[in-house]
Amino acid sequence: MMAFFVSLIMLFISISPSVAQANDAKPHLSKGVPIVGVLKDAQNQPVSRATVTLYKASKMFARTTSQPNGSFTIPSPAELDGQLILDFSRRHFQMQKLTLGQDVLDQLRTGCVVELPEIILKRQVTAGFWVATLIFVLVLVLIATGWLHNTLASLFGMSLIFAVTYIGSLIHPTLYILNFAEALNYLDWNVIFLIMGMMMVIAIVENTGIFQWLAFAAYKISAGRLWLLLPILVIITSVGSAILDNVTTMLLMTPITVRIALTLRINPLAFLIPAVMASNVAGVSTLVGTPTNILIGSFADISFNDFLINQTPGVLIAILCLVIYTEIIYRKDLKKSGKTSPALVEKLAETAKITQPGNLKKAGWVGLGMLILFVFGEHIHLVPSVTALMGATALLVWIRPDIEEMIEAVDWTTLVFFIALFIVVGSIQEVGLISLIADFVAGLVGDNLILAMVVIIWMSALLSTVIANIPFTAAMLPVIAYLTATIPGADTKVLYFCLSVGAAMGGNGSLIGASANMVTAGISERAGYPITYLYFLKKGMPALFITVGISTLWLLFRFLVLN
Amino acid sequence: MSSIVCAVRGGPESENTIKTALSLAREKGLPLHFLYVVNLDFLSNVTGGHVQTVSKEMRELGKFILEMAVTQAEEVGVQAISHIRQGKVHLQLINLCQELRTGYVVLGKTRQRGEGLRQPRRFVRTYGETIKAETGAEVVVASEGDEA
Repeated sequence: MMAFFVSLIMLFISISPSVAQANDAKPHLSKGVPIVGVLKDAQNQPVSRATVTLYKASKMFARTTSQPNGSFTIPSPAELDGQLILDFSRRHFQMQKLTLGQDVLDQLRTGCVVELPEIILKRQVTAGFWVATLIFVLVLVLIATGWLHNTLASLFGMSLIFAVTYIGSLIHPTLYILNFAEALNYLDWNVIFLIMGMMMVIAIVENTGIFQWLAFAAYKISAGRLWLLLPILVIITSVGSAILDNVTTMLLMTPITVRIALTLRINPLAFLIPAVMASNVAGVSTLVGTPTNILIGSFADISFNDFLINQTPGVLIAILCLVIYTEIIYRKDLKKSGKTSPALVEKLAETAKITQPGNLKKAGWVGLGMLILFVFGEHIHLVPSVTALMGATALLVWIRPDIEEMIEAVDWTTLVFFIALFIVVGSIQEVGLISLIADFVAGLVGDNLILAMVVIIWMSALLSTVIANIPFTAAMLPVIAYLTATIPGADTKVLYFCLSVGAAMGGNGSLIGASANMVTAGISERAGYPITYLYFLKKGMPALFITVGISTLWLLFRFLVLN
Repeated sequence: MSSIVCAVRGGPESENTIKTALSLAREKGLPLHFLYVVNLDFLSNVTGGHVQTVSKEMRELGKFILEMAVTQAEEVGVQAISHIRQGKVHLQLINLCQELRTGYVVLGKTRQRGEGLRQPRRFVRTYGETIKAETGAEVVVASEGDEA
């Protein structure tokens, strides 16, 4: 199974994205001065892979393809004795013709390169549009309901897209969505390799016992004062979630936290609920804290420092308020403390040890190096994925663990999930659904930056309680790109930070809102303390409003007052 | 020699099950075997890369819960032995019962969502009948107590 996933990933990597190359037709007349231009859509986004054909006196003279930035260059004929018409065609767009006027011809005759004004191509809603939209919704439903594993759901969606494109378009050409070569353009390898690198680092760290030791240290420091133990556990969870990822942090913290609570004879939920909520909040403060931040950072070129500077203060205030809120809702549990059994405390101490101190030290040094590179690497254009890969490799070479165990520790199903998801989201971008959504949101907020910030934060937060936040974030990124380009003052990338807050902190609104919630509930249930959907909703929704509210105020202050 | 098997998972809803098992053990004078089953099904739809680490942590949690149950048994003078297994609860319970050739199995009416089921009386009865058929053991259902 592992070999299959590795092969699948290597196959995707080895096939270089076949960005359409300029494909000049052989001119039947000698070439003259080039004509250059840029193609954009109604959302001011470049249109790539459009076929640009120059006709002279109704005969095709030259043909080229627009580049990823929408630009094209096409040679004009040396003999300008006939009408010149440019034809622009691209799947999912309406065909457009542009007759070159006399002024253009005059300019060509002088030997000057002609730069055309921006050409806006209009979208065309095809049968493929509806099919791609339905497939995307189906994938979201499959993930939300859990009928299929996340990875299987996205692979299923991806396969359907290709099936409709390759087979459906034979039946009717308008069913065409996205072919394999075009799909590869939507893969963000920076995200894949960053996640892969961090997974390898996490696999080393999680076996050292550091989280268990820290949790037990928290228990000793608090010395029976439960009101103090809660915030210490929240701090440990928050730091872990910001540096590693919140699912791993909760997987490691939950069992030891349950054991501590059982030793103290209190309801473990009094610690678990604050911890998991804090994990959803704290992950927002760094580039690598949540998968959604990784997606956002890579798409919008937002660095590790940018997240730290712009998000951390708001996150810290939100966590402080979260601690106060949870101290209040669990005040009765935190006042109780039955007699602790010395035997249980001894058992707890036995298991809460650092089992691999040597590896932990090495991981610490490598982690420090990675942090330095994350912080200063942008000055040398070092992308985060390279830092993560170098760090993972350095750790593996230094520690020399069983490489097969390490490979197994990488969550390949998640990586395949991302690959398939990029293609599914790419398909709805290709057919123009994202453009429609962008238009709708733009219509809603107009030029009002404050309104845009509030709408994006709260819409993302509330939708994240029911829709999986990773596909939601991936789909929203082009929408945010459009709004960033069109709303005055949004060029600070504030709207991306708004999406980051909403998509992650929205996970506190419901049990299914975040994977960290689900794993915590799974472990807690297996210790006899189930967390029902309703229970989490009652505790989590107020926490969502508190933390998202504070983060909204912080971002407004940071970008509108301080900026 | 016959024995009593009781599957526990901790929490307030296990308390009644443990009490029933202890009461039965004292009445029959039989050794009591507590079973905790590590079940990682909850990981399947979330992540695939942490199974070994989580399995280890869940085993430690299971041992802890069993330690609490054994301590409780010792306090009332009942000899108790703990077992930790991994897999599906109902299958592991049957396996242990067959290995020990146990005479009694104590079941609780817990609200289990871990294996996708809330255990209403009908299910417990059906499950109890399966255990009896597979192992020959007498099934004792814990009485309902206060819920947490």
